[in-house]
Order: sequence, then structure tokens, then C-alpha cells
Amino acid sequence: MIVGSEGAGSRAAIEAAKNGAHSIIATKGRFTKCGATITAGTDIDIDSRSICDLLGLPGDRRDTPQTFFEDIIIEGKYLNDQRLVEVHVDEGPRRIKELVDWGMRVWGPQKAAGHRYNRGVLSTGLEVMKALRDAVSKYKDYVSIFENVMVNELLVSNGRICGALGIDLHKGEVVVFRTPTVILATGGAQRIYPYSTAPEELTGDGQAMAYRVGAELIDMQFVQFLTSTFLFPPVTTVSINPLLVRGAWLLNTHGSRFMLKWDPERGESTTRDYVAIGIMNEILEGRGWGDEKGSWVKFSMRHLPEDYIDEIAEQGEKILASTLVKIVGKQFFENLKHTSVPAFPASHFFCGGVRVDVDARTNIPGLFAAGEVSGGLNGSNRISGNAITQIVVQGTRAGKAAAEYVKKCPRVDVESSELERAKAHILAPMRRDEGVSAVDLKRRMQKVALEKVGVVRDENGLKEALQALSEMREESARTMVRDKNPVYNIEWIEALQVENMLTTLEMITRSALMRNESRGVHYRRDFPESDDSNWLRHIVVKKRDEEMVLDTTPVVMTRMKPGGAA
Amino acid sequence: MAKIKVRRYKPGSSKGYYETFEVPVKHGMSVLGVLAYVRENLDNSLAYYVSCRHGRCTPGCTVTVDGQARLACLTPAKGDMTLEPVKGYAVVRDLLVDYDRKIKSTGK
Repeated sequence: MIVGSEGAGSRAAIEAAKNGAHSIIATKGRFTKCGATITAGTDIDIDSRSICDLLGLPGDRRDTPQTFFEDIIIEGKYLNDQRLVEVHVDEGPRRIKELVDWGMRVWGPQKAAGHRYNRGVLSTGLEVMKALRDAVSKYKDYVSIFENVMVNELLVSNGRICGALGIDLHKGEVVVFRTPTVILATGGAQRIYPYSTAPEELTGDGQAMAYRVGAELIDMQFVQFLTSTFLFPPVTTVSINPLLVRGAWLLNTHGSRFMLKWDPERGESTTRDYVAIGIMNEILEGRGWGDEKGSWVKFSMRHLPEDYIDEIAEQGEKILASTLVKIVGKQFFENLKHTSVPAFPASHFFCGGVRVDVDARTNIPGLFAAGEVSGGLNGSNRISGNAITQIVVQGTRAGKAAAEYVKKCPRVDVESSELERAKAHILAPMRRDEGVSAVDLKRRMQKVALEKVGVVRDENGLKEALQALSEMREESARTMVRDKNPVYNIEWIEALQVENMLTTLEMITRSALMRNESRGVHYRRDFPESDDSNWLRHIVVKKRDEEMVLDTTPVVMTRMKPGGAA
Repeated sequence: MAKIKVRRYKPGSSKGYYETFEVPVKHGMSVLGVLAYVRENLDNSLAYYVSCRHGRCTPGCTVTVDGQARLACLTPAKGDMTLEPVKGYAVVRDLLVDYDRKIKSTGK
């Protein structure tokens, strides 16, 4: 069984089918109409030599998988599990070539921040899913897709996966899946934060489910925020692809280009971790603008020639930022010739997640995790263009490994007590007649997340967040759904999601408090430097006797250490 | 305050009805923003589909706005309006339809 139907999930199903295994995909939304993959509109990175050799695009043959490997480690600040990165650079090119063979259109390549060569094959998430949908349809005898099913419980027996439980949202009924394997492909938990580039349903369901059955989670403090994000109240945020806005300035209330303090050479074109921290630092130190809803700095292109801005608008319309043009109109770019616009960081990507090996196995027999829900590949900062490559590489590995596991594993029955426990948990908010409103709880959680566990962190703020979280976690066990009609009951869904988000936020907060240093996207203003002598270690979170416990483990460096080869 | 007339349908009941909500529509607000406002502040049970919020998951949050099918996320809210489910499909609840069940008329 696979939870999540998009990039990682559908790729896993294809590979499982190739290995003779039948799979069920359950998705909270609709296949190719939900999840993070379709929202991608950007570069898909593999080494530039393979771009020439495999894709026939004008890449740069000086590049190699090894150089790509090094750039990923450098941008991840040496916190990547290098075994995962080896697989990523070695298998990425074949996986992307497959997508092209299955119908994905590609352009480019272009060069993005942190890459030494032009590795960004340009395409869109919609193209990726079109290719995967067609490929899945070739294996339709092997793959069944259950849409509008929210899986919220994993079932275990003697420490092994024996099933999963969810809600068929259209019927309003609890559904039980008896299965020896579950591949989590549920994406990140970006909606913990009020401003996000991610879709509504990325609420940490996979991370929280895995945690509840005793899986280990790794590097949870590394939440990436995307900049050049503009707010269209009150629903949506829109980000311009950084590749499109080269040359733009970020300004504070003094009219100064503060990014030059953080990266004198690259300025605003530096990597995304620095841009997010730089913006948030200006806001926190009182050099930003703000109102009761949020704060921002200004994004300006006024110094650029008008025909350059026209060119960006045109490019945007063609491929990358077309949705932006639809929402705000050409007027947006016209305005940029004369005026600057508010910009702020929005949650974008979870570098951390469920701890996996190269075959996407977790520490729970039968439980696999692929794509953004897993952790370790991206270290403390994901380099641009790695997300799509990651989902197809890890999805493929997970599908194959799960198919092999099924052939060998003993039959595991679901014990009735386990089933009753899971049912009671998923139905609890519907059964209560009084309690807490999930909508209200979510609002309060998002505020704490943004202010205390966001881009800029310190000990006091994180401790205050933990205090607030312990109260909110207690409240999340008392959420109540007012309208008891179970069919597509959004308040019920929200109640389960907010509990998952609070669990995930607690993992982020505790890990962020433990890591007394700054690294990648984790910035502690009380410890602004990286501390290689103590912190080339992962923080691992797991549940032990109902308590959240943290431990550290050294990073596996197979090829590269700070200062040289491993 | 704008008057937002919404077609409601409770699963299991024999037919739908209209309900009007008062929403402080501001410049820059989308129809999806109006739905989110209603759900978060006025009636938590209002059902509709939402995912990406910027036109990628189409038909995604498509609803009928004053008689025309529109993506709620990309349609600016301009004061009073009537919101109904997309025509031609079975209604699951309120503005949410089942695209796997085509029907001849909106029926309910």
C-alpha cells in the first residue's frame, strides 16, 4: 500500500508493478490533482553531462555525478546522509530520462544557485504528473487508486506493519487496509506555517503516523522557506522562480540592500537559506514593514531596464510563472517597473523527515518512506532542483524494496485490539460532544510556528513555543466536530490534521532547541555560527513510552568531509 | 459586507437549499478566500475542494460563480455573488462534486 498518489507514490507503484507486486494507492485528494508535485514549476536537477548524453539538451560535459554530489553536500552543509546522495546522483539521470520517455516535456537547462554547472532541466510538476499518470495507466492491472481517502493510522503487530486505517471522505466511512507494507509518500508539513508555497493538504500526516508507531525521524529542524514570495490575501501566496528574477533587489526600510551583508558577492542571488534568514532578520530587527497579519521587506526591480522586465514577464507567461500572471495579471510586472512590492519567506520544503536507508526502509519492518516525507538526503538545506529528482529516485527504490519485502515477509494478521485502538483514535473528534475547535487551534499553532519556530530562532522563543505546544497538544486530544454528518466533513479532517501538525511541530521545536548552532536553513540568532566540532550529527526523534525523545548520531560521510575527501 | 449566497447540500437529505453569508470582501480577495472566510469564521462544515490554491490542481476548486464555472482560487471576489457546485456532476456535499459521477441535471 502507498499513501500519497503523486510523484513519489505513483513512481513507487510503477516500480512495484514492474516487480510483479500489486499496490493500492490512497490519496487525500484526487490523483494528479493534489499534493506538492504539481505545484513545482521549476528546475529538475541532474548532472549536466547526463543532460547532454541522456536528454540531448545543451548541458555542460565538464560536469560529473561526483561534482553534483559535492555541490549537494556543500549546500547541505555536510549534514546529508552521503549514502542517499550517492544513489541520488547515480540514479537521478535515468529516472529523469524515463519521465521524458513517458512524455514529460523539457527545456533548458539553466543554472540555479549553489550549482557549479547548468543542471536545471526546466519543466513543470504538471508535466511530471502527466508522464507518471500515463505510465501508471500501463500497469492498471497492478495499481488501484483510492481517491479522497485520508489515511491517518498505521496498524502494527509485533512491531511490524499489518495495515492502515483511513476515512473514505466521500462516503464518510472508516476504511481498513490489510497490508504488510506501507510506503509513505505524503510530502511535508508546510501548513504548520501560515504562509506556505505548498498545497493545503501537506499537514505532516506521514511524519505523525510514523512517529506514533515508533519510527525514527531525522533532521526535523531543517524547514526551508522560499523567498520572493508575495501575498495575495487571504488565501494564496505566489512565488516567483528565483531563476526568473536575477538582478532584483531586496530592500529594507532604509532603502538598503541588506543581502550584501550576508553574501557580498552574490547578494540576492545567494542560496535560499541565506535569503530567508536575511529577510527575517531585517523584520525582527525593525527594518521591515508590517501590519497585524505579517511582516515583509520590499522586492524591487526598478533599477532594471524596462525591456528586461518585459522579457521576464514573457518568459513567465510561457512556462514558469504562468499562474502568477493569471492571478495578478501583466499589471504585476508593469508595476514592477515603477514600484517595489512586499516580499517575505513562506514555508517551502521539509529537509528532515522519516529516517530511511537507500531503499527507503524505515526502522519499522514493512514501513517505507519516499520523497519529502523522508529525511537525510538534503542535509540542512536542499539545493535548488533536487525535489523532483528525489521523488522519482526514492519512489523507485521504495517500490522495488517493498515488492521484495512482500514476497518474503510472513503473513501478519491485524489484532482486533489494534484495530479498535486505531478506530477509536480516528473517530474521537466525531464522538465528542464538547471540546476544542480545530480551526481555532490551527490558527494559534500557526502563529507560534511563524514567530518562534520559523526562519530565525533562539532559546527563549523555542522554550516558549514548547510551553505553548504542550498546552495545544493536550487540547488537540480534545478536538470536537460540531456537525456530525461524516461525509466530507472538513472539520473532522482538520481535527486529525491539526493533531498531526502539532506532533510534527513539536519534533521541529525540540530538534531546533537541541541544535545549539546555525546550519543551513536552521538559524539560531543566539548561536549564529556553525559548530563542526560538535554538530556534524543528525538529531533523531522518536517516541519511547509515550515520551518524545531525542538522540544524535554522526553523519555518514562516504566520500566527502569538511575540508576534503572522506 | 458582501452577501454571499451559497448552495448547500447535506448528504442524506432529499434536496439542497441556499444560505447567505455576510463576508467582508476586500480588494485582492479571491472566491476561494471568501469560502475560506466562511468556513473558518461562520460555518466550519462548508465543504469544497481545495489543494494548490493557484490554478495547478484544476478542476480543483472550480465552483459556479454567478452561473459561470470558475476556479475559485484565480477568480477575484467582487462583492455580492451566488456560489453553486459545478454543473453536470453528482454533488457530494455543498460545493463539492464527484467527478466520477456524471449526471444530466444538477438535480439536488
